[in-house]
Amino acid sequence: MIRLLIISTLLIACKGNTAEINHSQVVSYQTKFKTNQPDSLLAGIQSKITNAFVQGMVSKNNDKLKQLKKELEQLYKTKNQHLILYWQSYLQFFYSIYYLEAGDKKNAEKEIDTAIDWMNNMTNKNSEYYALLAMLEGFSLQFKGMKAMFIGPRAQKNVKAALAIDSTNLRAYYVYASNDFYTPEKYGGGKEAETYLLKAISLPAQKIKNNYLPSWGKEEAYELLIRHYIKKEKWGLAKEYFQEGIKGFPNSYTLNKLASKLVGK
Amino acid sequence: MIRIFCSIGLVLLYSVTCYAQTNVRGIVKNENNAPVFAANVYSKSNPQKGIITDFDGKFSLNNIELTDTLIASFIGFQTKVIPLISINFNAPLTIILAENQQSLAEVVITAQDPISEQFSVVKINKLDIYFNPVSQGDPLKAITTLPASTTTDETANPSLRGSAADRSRVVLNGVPIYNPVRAAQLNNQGFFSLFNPEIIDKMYVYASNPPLTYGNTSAGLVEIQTNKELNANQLQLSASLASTGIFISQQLKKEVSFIQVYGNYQFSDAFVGIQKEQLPAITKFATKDAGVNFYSKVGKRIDVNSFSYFIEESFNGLNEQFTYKGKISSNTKRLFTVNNLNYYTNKGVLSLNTGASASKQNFNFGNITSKNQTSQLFASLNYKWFLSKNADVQLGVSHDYQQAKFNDSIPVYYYALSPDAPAFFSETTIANPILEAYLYTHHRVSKKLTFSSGVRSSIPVNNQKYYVSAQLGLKYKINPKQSFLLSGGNYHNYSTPNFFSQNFNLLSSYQLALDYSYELKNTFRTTDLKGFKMRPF
Repeated sequence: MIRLLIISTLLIACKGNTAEINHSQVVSYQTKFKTNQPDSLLAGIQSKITNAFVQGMVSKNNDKLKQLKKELEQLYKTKNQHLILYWQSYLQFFYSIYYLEAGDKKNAEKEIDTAIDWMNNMTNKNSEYYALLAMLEGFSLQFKGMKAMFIGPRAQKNVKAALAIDSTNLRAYYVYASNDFYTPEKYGGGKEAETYLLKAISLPAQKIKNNYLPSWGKEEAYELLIRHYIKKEKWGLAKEYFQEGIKGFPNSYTLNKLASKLVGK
Repeated sequence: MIRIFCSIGLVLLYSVTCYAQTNVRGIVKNENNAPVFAANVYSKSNPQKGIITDFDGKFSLNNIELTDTLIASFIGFQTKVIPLISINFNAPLTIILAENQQSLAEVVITAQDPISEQFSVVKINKLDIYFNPVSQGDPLKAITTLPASTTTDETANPSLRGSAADRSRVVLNGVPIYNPVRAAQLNNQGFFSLFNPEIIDKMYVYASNPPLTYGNTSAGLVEIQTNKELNANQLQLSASLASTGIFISQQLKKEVSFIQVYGNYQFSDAFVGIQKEQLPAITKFATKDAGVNFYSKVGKRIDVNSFSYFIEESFNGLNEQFTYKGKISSNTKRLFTVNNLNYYTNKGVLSLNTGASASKQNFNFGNITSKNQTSQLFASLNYKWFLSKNADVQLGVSHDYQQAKFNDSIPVYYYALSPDAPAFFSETTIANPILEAYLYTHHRVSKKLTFSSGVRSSIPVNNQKYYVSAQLGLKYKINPKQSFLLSGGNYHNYSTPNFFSQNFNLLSSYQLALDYSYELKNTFRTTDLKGFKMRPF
C-alpha cells in the first residue's frame, strides 16, 4: 500500500507537469510574448501610431505623430530593418489621413506617395508588406485622377501577391475587400467585398501575438462589413456582425459610431 | 524488496528527467546570415513564455525543460522546430530561418522582368507614353525626351547617344523588329512607330551597353513587353477628318486569357480636300493597319503570347530634287508576327521566342524605281535560372535569318532624275543568317551594389567572320532616388540593308558609360559620361 502511495505521489508530481503542457497547447493559439530587451520604440508601435493619430485628430495638432515619425526615421537610419520601414509607411498612411481631414490634399498625396515609394523599393516583400503596399495604393487613388486607372490594377496585383504568399493573412483579405468596396460598381467593384470581409473576420489578427508586428485589420474588417450590409439594407446581418464586432472591440470608435445607423432597423 | 527499489528508482529517474531545465541563448538569422529582428522564439510546451528577438536577432529563454522543443518563427519564413535534446548547450545556438518558398505566381512575376532590368537607364510604362507631350501617344517617340536620345530628325526609329538609328534595336517580346516605323522613306526613316501603346505593358531603354541577352546591336536597345494581364474590357472608337479606328480589349477567361484587336484606316480625301493650297505636295495618302494580341496561361506553369500586325501604306504626291520636279509614289505592305512560349519552374523560366516578318515596298520618282522585298525569320531559346535570391543567370541561343531582294532602276548621275535621264537596272538578293549563343549573369552583391556580366558569341555560318561581344556592368544605388551605373563592353551588329546600302555590313563598337540618375516624383533626370568608339568590323 505504502509502495503504491509513493509511486502514485511521484506520478502525480510528474503528471502536473504534463497537464501544464496540454493546457498551454489548448489555450494558446494567440499567446503573449515578452521581450528581453528594454522597452523600445517598436514595442507596441501599432498602438503608438494610432493613438498619436487619434490624439492629433482630436487636438488638431499632429506633434505626436511628427515626433513618432522622427524617431522611426532615426531608428531606421541606425538599424536599417524592413520592419521599421513598414511602420514608417504605416505612419505615413495616418499622416496622409490627417492632412486630408485638414483639407490639405497636396500634402496628403505627398505623404502617401512617400510611403508607396518606400514599400515599392523594399526587396523580398512578404505577405504583410504586400498587403500594406496595396492598402496605401488603394488609398492614394483618390488623389490620382486619370492615373487611378493604372494604379488601381497595381494595388490589385499587390494584394493578390499578399494572398498568394500567405492565404491566412487577415490584412490581405481586408485590403482586397476594401479596394473592392471603394471601387464603383460600374467599374466592377462591390462584388467581392462581402466574401473577403467574412474571411478576414474569421482569421486571427496574429498567429502568435507579437507586439512588434502588425495586428490591424480585424476591427476595420468588421466596420466595413457592417457598412456593406447597411449599404445593401441587410439590417439583420448588419446587427449580427455589429454585436460580434463590438464584443471583440468594445472601445472601437468606428464601430460605436455605426450603432446610431442600426437603431430602429 | 528489490523490485520495490527498482520501481522507485525508475520513477525518480523519470521525475528528474521531467524537471531537468535549462536556459537557451542564441541568435536567429536568415539564409544570408543577417539577424532576424522580432522573430518569435518559444517552447512548444509553453508558448506563453516565448521571447521576441532583438535587433541583433538575439534571444534568451530561461527554464526550458530538456524534453521540450524550441520553435522559431517569423512572417515570410518557414517555422523552425528544434528538439532541445539535439542542441549543444556549450555553444551559442544559431537558428537559420529559410524564406518561405515563393509561390509560382511570385516566380512568374519575377520571371517576367528582364534579367538586365536594373541596367536599363529608364523603364517606361503605358502611362508615361500617354502623359509625355512629345510622344503623341507613340511608344518610340516617348523615348525622344530622354537625355540619352539623340534623334535629330523626325523619325521614330530611336537614335541613342549619338549612334545611328540602325545600330540600335527595338525588341518586342524578345524578337527584334527591324525598321519599326511607318511612313518609311527609302532610307528607312519613318515618322511613327508600328506599336500601339494599348498593347504595351513596359518598355526598357538601354541607352548604351545593351544587355547581351539580345544580339545584333552595337549601340542601344529598346525592349518592349506586351500586356500580361487585362485590367478591363474596353471598346474604343475614333474618327477624325483623316482617320477612323477601332480598338477592342476582351477578357476571354478571367485572369487566364485575353485578346486585343485593333484596326485603323487613314485617308486623305477630306484632309487634303479642304486645304489643297496648304498641302500642294500631297495628292493622296492612305494607311490601313490591323493588329491582334493574344495572351493565355496554359495551366499553372505555361503562358503563351501571340502578336501579329499588318500594315499597308500608300502615298502619292509631288517632289522636287535637284533639277527635277515630278510625281512621287510609294506603296508598302508589311506583316509580322511575334510568338512566345514560357515555361515557369520554381527555379527559373524557359522561353521560346519566334518571329516572322515580310515586307514589300514600291517606290517611284523620276527615273528611280525601287521594288524591294524583305523577309525575316527569328527564333531564340532562353533559360533564366534563379540561382539564389541575389543571383540569376540567363543563357540561350538565337537564330536570326534575314533576306532582302532589290529590283531597282538607279540614276547614272545622282543629279539627273527626270524619267528620260539615264538609269541602270540592278537586281540584288542578299541573305544573312545570324546564329549566336550567350550567357548573362546578374548578381546583387548588397542592397546597394549590383553586378552584371555578359558574353555573346557568334557561330559563323557561310564563311561569316567570328566575333565575340562581352560586357560588364556595376550599379550603385546611393539611395532610392540616386544611382550610378558604370558599364562597358564591345558589341556587334549587322547593318540593315536599304536602297542606298544593299549589304549586311558587320559593325562593332566599344562602349564605356557612366550614368548618374536622380529621380524625383514625376521627373527623371540623368546625366552621363560616356566613351563611345564605333567602327566597321
